[in-house]
Amino acid sequence: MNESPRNPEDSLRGFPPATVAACLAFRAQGDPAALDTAITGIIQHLLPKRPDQPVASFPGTALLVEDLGLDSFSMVEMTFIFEDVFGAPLAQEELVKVRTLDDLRALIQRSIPSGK
Amino acid sequence: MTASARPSVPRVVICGLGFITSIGNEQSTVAQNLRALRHGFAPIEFIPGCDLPIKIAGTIKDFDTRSPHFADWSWPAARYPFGREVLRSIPPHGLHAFCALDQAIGDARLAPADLKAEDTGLFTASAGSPFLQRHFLNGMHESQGGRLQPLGIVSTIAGTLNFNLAAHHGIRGGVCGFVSACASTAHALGYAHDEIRLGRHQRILVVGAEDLSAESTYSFHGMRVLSRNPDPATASRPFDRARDGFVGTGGACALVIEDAASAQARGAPIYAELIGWGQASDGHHMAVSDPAGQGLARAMRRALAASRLDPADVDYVNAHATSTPAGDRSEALALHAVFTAAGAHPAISSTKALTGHALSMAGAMEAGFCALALREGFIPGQAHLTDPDPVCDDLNLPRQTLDRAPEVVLSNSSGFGGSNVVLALRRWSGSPHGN
Repeated sequence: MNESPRNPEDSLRGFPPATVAACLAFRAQGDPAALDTAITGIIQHLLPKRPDQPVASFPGTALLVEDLGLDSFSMVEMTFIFEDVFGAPLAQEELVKVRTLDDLRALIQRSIPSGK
Repeated sequence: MTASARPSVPRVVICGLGFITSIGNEQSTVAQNLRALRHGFAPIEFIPGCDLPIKIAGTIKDFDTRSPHFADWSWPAARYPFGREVLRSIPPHGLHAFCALDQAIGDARLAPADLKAEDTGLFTASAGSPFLQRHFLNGMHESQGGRLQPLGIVSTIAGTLNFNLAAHHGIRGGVCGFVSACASTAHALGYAHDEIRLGRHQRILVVGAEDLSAESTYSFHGMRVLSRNPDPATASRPFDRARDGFVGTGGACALVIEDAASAQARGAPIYAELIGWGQASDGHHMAVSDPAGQGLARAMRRALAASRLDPADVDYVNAHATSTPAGDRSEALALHAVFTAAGAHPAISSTKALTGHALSMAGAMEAGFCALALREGFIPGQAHLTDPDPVCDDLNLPRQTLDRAPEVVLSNSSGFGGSNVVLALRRWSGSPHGN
């Protein structure tokens, strides 16, 4: 199986410019602030229904499914995009344990290859 | 049970229409173009950069869904403000279907609660989206099985309209897809009629849609059934001696089929009564019509019998005729067998001369055209006919639109495998109950 990442610009087609810019800034400079903007922007865009408030304003304890409205299909799409954008392969056994925004942030940070 | 105690059988009506077609994306535009015999054809590059022998199609204006990524699509988004929740699981023709159904629901004055009622159903047909499926499956193979689009199946297989429209509108009655190729939505309308007559449903939304793409449309060139004529004014010319194949189209059409009493109570516009239908198969070939048209003739006779009509009662036949040499000849012979032999001469035309052939959505689109003709009082002429095939001698093919209100109309559809469906419609008047 070949799970090598696609070009991040392709993966981010249709995403808001601020999210794309944050993703590219993190890839270029490894800026942690850009990483969080990128993560919350990606989630925000993939939510089937637009939330009442920006994902970035939710507490870290917010539940991805119950509070944000992410569904299993969006989770799969999100995984592909994180892998493409951050070069972070997210292990399925780790993903199934993710419940909250902070769980997800922690998993991505653990999964990003060193040097980024 | 005495006759007086027997519950009355509901009359079935068409009380909502929506069109996203090559000749218009609004009912009023469609009606104007039908009357004026204005076609919807334009040049198309099915495979960009390739000099293909098929040059034109019935294009959908104001929509651009050529990309497999919905983020790239453009459409009248202010009128149809669909977001990611809808777009992520639909193919190009799904967008057309959502828009057409939106029109039909508004036209029929249906509220969200009406759509969620347990006796509201949804019947649809499309061939799915081989265009989008190819994109997703290429991604699967390129990634050696690593990248599978999570909504790739529900957005591409035949049935995608059912899945998406039923979920979006919360349909809780029967939901069903029909697969009889170019007779599919005619079948859907026929069975919708029966469901309502049997009292199982109060209303059924019928939706047909098709992609206009190399995968869905240009593929027919493999059978050599597409017109190679690059002239939009003459490429689709049903019943003409010089016809050389059909012109493809896509888009969507939606109809609300309902118990007349409930439609009237809501104040919905009633376009026509769907009085009966008939079907029969050729038993001949998987892709070619019976040369003698016997299956279609049998379907027309069954539609007449089910509707208690004689051939002489019919004022207009909307023919299936796609502009292929063999298919149109077969239909002409079927029309002779049913009408000429009975001394009847209804006006006959194929509106595919204007729209192109919409494959599985053709039956719904043409029933919608018939409903407009019945309500507005005109009979579309046979566009682009200059030299009628001699097989059409004694068939009444008016070259111009007739400003005459038809009372009774038949709409013919034929699909691969020799599947023939004929719908009978009547101008609406009278009480909501028949017998």
